[in-house]
Order: sequence, then structure tokens, then C-alpha cells
Amino acid sequence: MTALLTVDNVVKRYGGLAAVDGVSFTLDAGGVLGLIGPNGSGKTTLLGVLAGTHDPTAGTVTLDGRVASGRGAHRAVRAGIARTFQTTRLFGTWTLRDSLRLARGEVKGRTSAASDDDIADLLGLDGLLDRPCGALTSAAQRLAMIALALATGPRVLLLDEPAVGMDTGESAALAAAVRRVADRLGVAVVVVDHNMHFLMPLADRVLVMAAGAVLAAGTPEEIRADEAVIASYLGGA
Amino acid sequence: MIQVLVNGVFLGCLFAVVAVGLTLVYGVMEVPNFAHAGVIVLAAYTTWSVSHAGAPFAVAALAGIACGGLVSVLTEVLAYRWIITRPAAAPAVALGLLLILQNVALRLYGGEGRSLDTPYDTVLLKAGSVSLPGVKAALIVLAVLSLVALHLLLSRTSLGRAMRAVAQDREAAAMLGIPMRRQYSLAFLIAGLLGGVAAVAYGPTFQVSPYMADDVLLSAFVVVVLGGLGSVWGAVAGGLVLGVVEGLGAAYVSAAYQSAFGFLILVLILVLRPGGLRSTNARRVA
Repeated sequence: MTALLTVDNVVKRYGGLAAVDGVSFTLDAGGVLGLIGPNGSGKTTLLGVLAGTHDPTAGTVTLDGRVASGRGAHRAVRAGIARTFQTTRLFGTWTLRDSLRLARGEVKGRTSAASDDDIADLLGLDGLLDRPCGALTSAAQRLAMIALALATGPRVLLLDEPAVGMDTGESAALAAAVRRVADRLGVAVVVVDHNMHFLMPLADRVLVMAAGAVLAAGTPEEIRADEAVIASYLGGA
Repeated sequence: MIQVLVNGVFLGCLFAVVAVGLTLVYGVMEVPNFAHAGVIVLAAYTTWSVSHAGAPFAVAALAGIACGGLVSVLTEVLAYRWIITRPAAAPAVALGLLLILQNVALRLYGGEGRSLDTPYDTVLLKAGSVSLPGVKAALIVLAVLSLVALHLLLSRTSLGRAMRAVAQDREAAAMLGIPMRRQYSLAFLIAGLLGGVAAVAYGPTFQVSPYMADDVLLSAFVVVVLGGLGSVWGAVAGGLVLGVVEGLGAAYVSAAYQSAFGFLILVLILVLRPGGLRSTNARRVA
């Protein structure tokens, strides 16, 4: 079976610096890949390449066999790759429902089959659709950002530190919501986060990056036991 | 008093139409578009040229408005687009574009003012002791029609909603698959068309010259700050406030200090309400 998302030897250089250096992996529909590594290891740059905001210097990203990299952010969204950001990015004066309507309107032909209520139900945002996004709690805003991404009908969802600033209960609820998205919608999810208590139980596989390259890849159990990863990143986590 | 207010509304409508173009571009691209004055100048000269060639004024006016839209989009495509990641360069680029556009006009038409004649030059509307020349009435009507059309575009169409989204948060908008370049060009197109409307409406009341829009541009920037950066309806309200204040000041104190009253209001607003009349925490185009 061909993987849904194939990242093949992707390199992103800034002058002499290789922010991403020959990263490859595949991801199937409904799979959750955790992407971890120290600050500056290239995780967010790699997400930028996957999301079309950065053109790769070399290598390709293919979605269902079609090249999706280097075509710009809006084309990546239309191809089925949606993302969220480290910092909350929402339309503060709009309600979540209006924001979802905009998302559906912009990606004609491939918007989510899931209704606004379905998305709210998946993410635990029931009852919040008609509130202005700026009036939601911080945790709800981060979930709202995922809701917007889902409204574009993605096949791949990229989450950049979605649990940042959340307490243990909120991050556990987020992990459960992401799992529901992967299982029920069949969306492949790539999650970058430093919170191992959030990420490890959620991910099917984990990719560890260091200095732009892949340091290790495997199941969460394999990664936890990897001496090189423990030495360079995990420590006692 | 009513006559003074009517004159103030005329000025306010002019300021509003120009300021809405500025604030639209600022809201979407964060560019202080000084070149907008050059767009108005070329639109006015186009109207004059087509009219002078014997075409009906309506045709000349449409040509002028279209020219405004075209030149404005060209400034975005050829210049502003290339500095989107370097916002500190935007003011210098904007001033450079203004000089280029004004010098194009100077080269083509010379520095001498040209009179733009309209079919309604001799019309004088009277209601009791209040009178309103046809050219001023036309400006008010054109301004109202343009702003209502803009309101409908922004509030009722997906293009308008996308533009408001970009103005609130560019990255969030990109996350939804909104093509940024299309939005930038659209904002400049609308601003240019409004600049063209201002040129067609304003040209006949003064003279068409390469520097005809300099003072209006300054006042329009005051209006943009008054109304809150990026706020279309703030610009409309700010335009009317500034127009009426300048009109009253000119009538009851001295016309020599007309612009000074506007800047006095600006200082007061910056002290009392720094975000502008319609300030909120979020930027907006609505």
C-alpha cells in the first residue's frame, strides 16, 4: 500500500546552514507521527516545507503520489495539507462558526464532509461555535485553530506545538481530540511538541530531529529506550 | 451654519474615499501607500485626456477610474509585493513610487494646471439659504455609492470576507488556503478604483496637476489615524469628522489654518484614544 504522505530526502538550506538536512519518512492515513527534538533542530522548518510556506532546497513532499511541496501555502491547503501554528492565529472578532464558513468557502471542492457541529464535537468545542474566537479560553482557542484547519478538509494535519501553555487535563483532552480526528476522519497527523506526556501516548511513531537531520525514528517505546535520544534530548522524560 | 456643515460633508466625503483606499491597503498589507496620491493624479489626467479628446464625460470618468485601478495594481505587482517581508522598506518605496508617478504626469502633461470640465459645472442645487454646486454634489453622491458598494463587497462576498480575514491575521488566513497575492492585488485594485473616483470627483473642483492630491493625501492619512488603522468604517467616520472640523474652522476662525484644525484633532485623538475612533485589539477591514 502506498503511503498517504511521503517526505523524500527533504533539505532546506539558508545560505550555508542546513535547517533541514535530508529528512525522509512516510505516513499513512489515520496515523499520528510525533516530531520531537531540541529547539533549533529544524522541526518547525520541516513543518513549513510540508505546509508549503518554505520551498525545499532539495527533495520532495508527495501527497497520494502527487508532488505537494514548493507550490505555496494556499496550494498545499487546497491539495489537502493544513496546519496550525505555535502561537494562536484566529480571527478574534469573528465567531468560530463564521471562521469555519470562511475556511469552507476558500477551499472549494475539497472542504470537510464533517459539519461544523461534527468538528466541534470531535474537538470538544460544543456550544462555543457562536462565540467570538477572541473570547474563548486559551485552550479552546488552540482547539479552534485545529477546527479551522479541519474545515478545509485536510488529508494531512500539521500541528505545531498544539499543547503549549496547556495544563495536564487540557493537554490530555487535546490528545484525545487529535486521536479522534485521526481515527474518525482518517486524517494523517504530524504533531510537533516538547511535552512528552502529551505526545508519547498520542503518537503511533516518533521522529527525533537534531541539527536538521533525523536522529532516530520508531515507536514511542523504541524512542524512549534509544540511548542516543535519551542522551541528546529526552533525559529522564 | 448649515452651509458650513454641507461644505464640511463635501470635504469629508473626499477625505473618506481617499482614506478608505489607504486603510484598505494598510489593513491587508501594512503599507503606508503614499503612492496613492500619484494614482489619483494619473487617474485625473486620464479623465482629462479622454474628455479633451471629445469623449462624453461619463466615458472619460470611467477611463479615469479604470486607470486608477490599473496603476494601483501595478504599484503592488511591480514594487510592494517584493518588499512584503521587509516592512521597514515600505515607506521609502511608497515615497519613491509617488515621485515616479508624479514625474510621469509632469513629463506627459507639464506642470500647468488643467481644467476638468463636467456636464454639471453650472448646476447649482439650492435648498433655502443652502446651496451646493453640482461638482460638489456629484462628489458626495459618488463617494456614498462607492462606499456602499465597498461595504457590500466586504460583507456579502467571499472575496470580501477573505480580505477581512487577511486584515485580521495574515497567517491565519494563509492557513485556510487564502491566496495572499490575490488579496494584495484586490486591495490595491479597490484602493485604485476609489482613488479614481476621488480624482473624477475632486478634479473638477480644483485643477488637475501633478501635485493636486498631496494635501488630500495628508488629510487622508490623518483620517486613517483618526479612524483606526485598517478600519474602513473608522475611515468613513474620521473623514466626515475631519471634513466638518476643517469646514467649521475655516468658516469661523480662518481659512488659512484649515489644515491645522485637522492636525489639532489628530493630536487630541492620539492623546485621548491612541487606537483611533473605532479601535479594538484586532486590526480589521470592515
